[in-house]
Amino acid sequence: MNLIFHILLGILLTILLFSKPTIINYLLMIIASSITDIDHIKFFTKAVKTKKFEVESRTRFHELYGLLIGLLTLFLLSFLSEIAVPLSIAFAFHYVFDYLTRPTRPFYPFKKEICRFNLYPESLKGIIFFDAILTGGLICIILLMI
Amino acid sequence: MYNIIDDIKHFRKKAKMNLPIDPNKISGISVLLSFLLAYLIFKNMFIFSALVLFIILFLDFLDGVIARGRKIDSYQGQIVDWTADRMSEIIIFVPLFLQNAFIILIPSLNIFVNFLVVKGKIWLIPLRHLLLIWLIYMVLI
Repeated sequence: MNLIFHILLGILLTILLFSKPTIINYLLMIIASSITDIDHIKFFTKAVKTKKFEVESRTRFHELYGLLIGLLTLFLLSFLSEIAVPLSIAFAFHYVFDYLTRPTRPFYPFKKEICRFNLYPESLKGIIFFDAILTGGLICIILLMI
Repeated sequence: MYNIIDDIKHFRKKAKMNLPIDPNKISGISVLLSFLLAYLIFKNMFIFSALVLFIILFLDFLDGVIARGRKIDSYQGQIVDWTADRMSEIIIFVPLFLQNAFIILIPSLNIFVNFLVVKGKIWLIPLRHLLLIWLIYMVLI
């Protein structure tokens, strides 16, 4: 899923999980829900040139391997601060929505098989339209919740 | 005499017909239903939770049956199935995780075990089946 969607998801989860969220809460949740996308930077130039953003643009930290490491790290952090609990939910939901809306390689680097749930269009135009609808829907939900 | 095994065999035979259903889509739908289940658990609606979890587990069973019936079962399909299961577990355990941070170790452990499964033969922990037993227990008390 696109970065804007992940940022908006971080905002929505902050509204849902905190009774009186502060700016720092919002910032941390946005970081937790979108930090995984940092590995795309390396592949961004190639993706713009080829107009293709394929599974190869996801490193091992963007797959179940990264989810496991992230969740265990946040679990250890939960002993220091309670905020680690909502942060891990935001972090995990990044993976959940990526798996639902993009082809992935969940067991990379051990297995390179691609996982598709076929719930999204295949063409670039279709994906842009699909992303726009989901992102727009999420904006509407956030506006309704504020 | 009523025999459930015959019923399952009959169902499998029916599902083996050329149904125009994509098994991967069924796995995806079971993940989407997990959001509803998480909400129901969060709201302590245990009867509905048990019902939705039963549907999720049925869909999990159904995708494999359809894939085998249409002779499109593959290792890639198995990967999709595993991924759907792990994602579903993560979503379902969120309301429990909000009550106790240690709960996150349970789906995390299953992700770790799944890496071992990918590398060799080992049993996965049937977390959602155990959760269904817990939900039925909660309904009964």
